[in-house]
Amino acid sequence: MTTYIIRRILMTIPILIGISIISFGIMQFAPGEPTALDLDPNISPEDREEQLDEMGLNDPIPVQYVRWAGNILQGELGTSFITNRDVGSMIWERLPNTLVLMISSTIMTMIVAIPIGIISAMRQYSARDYVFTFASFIGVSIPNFWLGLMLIIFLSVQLSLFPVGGVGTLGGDFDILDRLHHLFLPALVLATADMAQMTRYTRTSMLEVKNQDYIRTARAKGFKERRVVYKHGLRNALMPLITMFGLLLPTFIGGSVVVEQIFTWPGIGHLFLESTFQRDYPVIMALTMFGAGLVVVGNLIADILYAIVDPRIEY
Amino acid sequence: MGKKAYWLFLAMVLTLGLLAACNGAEEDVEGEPDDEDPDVEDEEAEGDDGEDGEDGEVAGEPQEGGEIIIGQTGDPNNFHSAYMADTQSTDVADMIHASLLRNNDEMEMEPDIAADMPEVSDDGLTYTIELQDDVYFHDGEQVTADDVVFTYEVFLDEDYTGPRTTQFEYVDSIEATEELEVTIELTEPDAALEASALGFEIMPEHILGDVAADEQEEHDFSTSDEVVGAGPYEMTEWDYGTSITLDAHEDYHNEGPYLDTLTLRIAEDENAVLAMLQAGEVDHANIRPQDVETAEAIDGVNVVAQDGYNYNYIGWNHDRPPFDDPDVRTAMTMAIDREAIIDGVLQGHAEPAHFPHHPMSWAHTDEVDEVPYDPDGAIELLEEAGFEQNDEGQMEWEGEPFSFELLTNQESHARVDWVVVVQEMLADIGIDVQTDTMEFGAYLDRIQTPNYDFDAIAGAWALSVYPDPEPLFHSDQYEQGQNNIRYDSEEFDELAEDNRAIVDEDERTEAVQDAYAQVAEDQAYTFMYYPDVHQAHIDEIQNFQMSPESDYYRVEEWWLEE
Repeated sequence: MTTYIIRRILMTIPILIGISIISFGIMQFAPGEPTALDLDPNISPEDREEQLDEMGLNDPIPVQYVRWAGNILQGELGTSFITNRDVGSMIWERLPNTLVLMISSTIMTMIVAIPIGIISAMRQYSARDYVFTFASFIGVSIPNFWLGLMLIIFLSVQLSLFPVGGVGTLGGDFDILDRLHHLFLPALVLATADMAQMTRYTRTSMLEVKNQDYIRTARAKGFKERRVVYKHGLRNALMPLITMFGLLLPTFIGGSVVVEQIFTWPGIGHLFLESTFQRDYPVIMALTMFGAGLVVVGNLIADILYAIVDPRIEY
Repeated sequence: MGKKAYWLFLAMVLTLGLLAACNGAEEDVEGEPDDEDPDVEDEEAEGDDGEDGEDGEVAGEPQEGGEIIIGQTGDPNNFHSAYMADTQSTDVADMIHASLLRNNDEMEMEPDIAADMPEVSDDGLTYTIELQDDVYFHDGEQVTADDVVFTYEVFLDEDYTGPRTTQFEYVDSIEATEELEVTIELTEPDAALEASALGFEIMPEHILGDVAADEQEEHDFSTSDEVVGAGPYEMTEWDYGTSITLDAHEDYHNEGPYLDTLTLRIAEDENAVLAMLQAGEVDHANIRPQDVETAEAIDGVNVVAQDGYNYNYIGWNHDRPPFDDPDVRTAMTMAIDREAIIDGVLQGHAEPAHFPHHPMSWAHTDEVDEVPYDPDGAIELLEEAGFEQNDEGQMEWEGEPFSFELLTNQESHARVDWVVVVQEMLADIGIDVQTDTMEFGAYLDRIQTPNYDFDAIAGAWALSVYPDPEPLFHSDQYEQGQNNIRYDSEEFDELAEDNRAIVDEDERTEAVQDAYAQVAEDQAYTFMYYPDVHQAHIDEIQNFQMSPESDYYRVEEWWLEE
C-alpha cells in the first residue's frame, strides 16, 4: 500500500510537468497580450513595448517557460501583471471562500442524493421513484446560471429572504449565521446538478447490489430490512461513488466560475475568469496548475479510499 | 492513471473555456484605461454635471454625516498616479488623492491643490504653480512643493516603466522653487500639459521617498489600503473582491466631504449590482442602457441620465478598396439609419454622432456637413464611385457582388446588436455584410498592428478631455500607433501635426477643430452615436453630480438628507 502511494505520488511529477508545458504553450498562443487592453492613445507604442520587456514577454516562449518553472520550483508564483500583487496571496485570500462553497455544496449533495438514491432503488418503479427520477432530470438539465438568477430574482430581490450576493454582510463582525445565510443559495445552486447526478449514480449502484446473492443471504438470515440495506447494501454500493467524488473535486472549480460570478462570491473561479480576460499570465498559470493539482490529488484520494473501503483490493 | 488524469485535465480546461465563453457576455472587460478605449461599454464613461441634470437639486444646506454603499464592478488595481491605467482604479483614486488641477463640470481644468491656475511664461516654456497652504495628507503631513516634485520625478525617472511618458515628453525639469511653489520648464511648448500632466495625483514623498521608481508600482502603498493621499476620503479597509471602506478626511482643503463613510461594494458584474440595487443593498450604481427601465421602477431610486463622453463608430479599413474612397464610406453612412438604431437598439438613450469628438468639448465644431440617412442617395453615390447595381439588386464592385465583414467585440451588448441592424440596412441597398464578434483580446490582436485583418470594425472610443487628433488619425500612426484603419490624408496631417506645440489657445482650438472636421468630411469612420450613461441613486442623496471624468464625481459634495 505504502509503496503504491509513493509510486503514485512520484508519477504525478511528469504529469504536472507535461500539463504545465501544454498550458503555458496554449496560453501564449492565445491572441492578445496583457498590455493590449490598455488602449489609450496617450500611451505610446514605445512605452507599451517597454512594459512588455519589463514583464519579460518579448523573450522566446521556452525561455519564459524555464524562467517561470524555475520560480515555481522555488515557491515563487510571481507577481500579477494587472494588480501587481503577489499571485500567491491573491489566490490564498480567495481560496477559503471557494473551499467553503465547495465543501458545503458537497455536503448538501450527499445529504440529499444518497438517501434519495437508496429510496429510489429500493422502491424501483414506484411512484416515488418516478418523481425522483423526473426531478433529477430537471436538476441535471437546469443550467446553474439560470437557476441562480431565478433564485436571486424571486428569493432575494422580490421576497428579500436571502442576500443578493457576497460572503457576508458588509461591515459586520464575523457571524456564523450571517455567513450561512449568504452561503445557502450559491451552495444550493452549485449542488443542484450534482445532487441530480449523484442520485442517479446511487440508484444505479444500489440496484446492482440489491440483486446480489449476499443481500439475499442477509435477508434469508432474517436481518432487519434496515440492516440489510444500510450495512450490507449501501457499503458496497458506495464504492463506485467514492471514485465519482474524487473525480468531482476538480469540476467544482469549473462549476464555481459561474456560481461565483452570479452570487458575487469572491473565490478562485472568478479570479480565473478575470485573469483570463486580462491575459494575466502569472495568475492564469498558477490557477491552472492548482486545478491540475486538484485532478491529480482527487484521483489519488479516490484510489486510496477505494482500497480502504474494499479490502479485496490490494496493490 | 497518468493518462486518465491528463485527459481529465484537458476536459476540465475545455469546460472552463466554455464556461468562460458563456459567461464572457456578461462580463465587462477589466483593465480599461481612463481615456480612449475601444471596449468602452455604454456605461463606462459618465455623463454630464448635475447642474443642468434631472437630479433633485440641493434642497437646503448640506448636512454632514451618514454613510452610503456604492455598487462597483470589479476591484481597482493600483492607486499610484504613475501606474494606474483602468477606470476602476482611477475612479477610486479620485476619492483618495488630490492633484494640482482637476476637471470641472464643463470639462475644463480648475485649481485643486494649486492656489490658482499656473502662470505660463510668454514663450509657453515655463509654468509656475502656487500651492494652497492648507492641504494635508490623510496622515496629517502637509502637502508641499516637494511632494509635487517627487510625484513628477517618478514619471521622468529612467527606471520608470509605467505607461505615461508621452505626457511628459516636453518636460525638461521640475523644481520646488519655494516651499509652496513649483516651476516646470519645458523644452517645447505643450498645450496639453495643463490638462494631462497637471491632473496627475500627488503622491506623498514622506512615504514613498525612499522607494525606487520602478518598485513603487508593487509597493503596498499602491496596491492595498495603506494608500495615503490628500483627497476627500481616506481608505481604511480594502477587503479584496468584497468591499472598500473610505472615511471622510476631516482636513480636506476643498468643499466637503459631507458623507462620513463610503463603502464600495465590489460585485462581479452589472447584473449583480442591479440586483443589489433592487434589494436595497446598495445606494448608488451605474446602470446599463438596457437596465434603465428596471432601475427606474425601483421605489425610492432616482435614475440620472447624461451624455456619455464617448462615441460608437464603424471604422473602415482604408487599405482595402473600395473603402479607400471617401465617397464609398460616405455612401455607407448614408445607408445606415442611425436614428432607427438609437430608437430600436438603445431605447432612445443616445444622440447621433457626426464628429470625432463630443459636442461638449471645445474641440467640437458644428461646421461639418452632417451625412443624412438617404439610401437612394447612397446607391447613386456608390454608382458614381464605380459600383453597379445588377438585376437582383446587388451592388457589384469590379464585376462581383460586393460583400464585406463587419467585426466587433462581444463584450458590448449594444454593439453586438446594432451590427446586425447595420447588416440589414446595407442589405437594403444591395450590399452583403457578414458580421462576426470576438473576445476582446482576440479582437484587438486581429485589428491592430501587425495584422490589420478586417474590412470594417464596430468600436467605441472614450474621449479625452485634452483631445489630440494625432494618435488616432495621423498617417504616421499606422505602423506603430492607433490609426489601424490607415486613414491617410495630407490635409489632416498638416492640420493636426504638432498641435500640442501651439501656444495660443484660440489658434490651437481652431487647428484641432479643423483637423477633426477633416476626418468627419472624409468619413474616415462612420460616426454612430454618443450613448447616454445612467447612474441610479437613492432619493436621499442630495447634490448628486455626474461627469465624464469619474464615476463618483465630486462625491465629497454629495450629502444625505435625514
